[in-house]
Amino acid sequence: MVLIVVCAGQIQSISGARPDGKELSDAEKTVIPIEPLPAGHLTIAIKDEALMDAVWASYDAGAKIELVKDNEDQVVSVNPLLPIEIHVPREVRVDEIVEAKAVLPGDTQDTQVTFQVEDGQAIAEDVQDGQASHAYVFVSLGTYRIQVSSANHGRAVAEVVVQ
Amino acid sequence: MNERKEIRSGKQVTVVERKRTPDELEKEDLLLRLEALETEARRKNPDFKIPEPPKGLERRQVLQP
Repeated sequence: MVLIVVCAGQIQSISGARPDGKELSDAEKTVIPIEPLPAGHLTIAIKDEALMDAVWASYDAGAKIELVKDNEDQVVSVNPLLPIEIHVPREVRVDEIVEAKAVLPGDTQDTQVTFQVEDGQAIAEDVQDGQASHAYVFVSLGTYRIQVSSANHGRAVAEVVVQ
Repeated sequence: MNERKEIRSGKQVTVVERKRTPDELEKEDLLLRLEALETEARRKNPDFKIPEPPKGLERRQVLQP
């Protein structure tokens, strides 16, 4: 089970654990958090396993997790946005043009993706049809970490081995 | 690490240049030593075969056959 504490429309904390591949028992699905919370705080208990996995995937990537409200403006669940993906060749040659591609969900609101090689310059590229790309050339041998990030979909990192 | 913009093959690219890290230099040194040992082993015994890597490890080619 994943517990999400919300206050004033903002997520304060996310906690919980589930071993990979373990299905919750009926008893576990009926667990209700009873720990008293400070005034104005409320807890959302996520017991749907697919949603739990999605929450952790978004959390790990730093992607936005939206609150879902009912007709009475009460928070009832969450909508974790899909994390950004990075696609880049694993092994390239010195002086080869390398296209780093970032893929966002088709309905993304983000208009730009930032590309950065380690502690190098952060370069913003426009999103078109849910994708953005930037071309690099590495003139030295070695292993380089390329990070892509966007406002709502967090970050993703890939390593490129230049040989 | 140095970066600069260039046009290559009609496309704007970011050219990345940096000195190799101590870890990378150490790794290359180990690979060169292994390659020398393999070359020597093959010279002494043409039937010499490099052991298969452990399961789950994909070995990169360091010695041209």
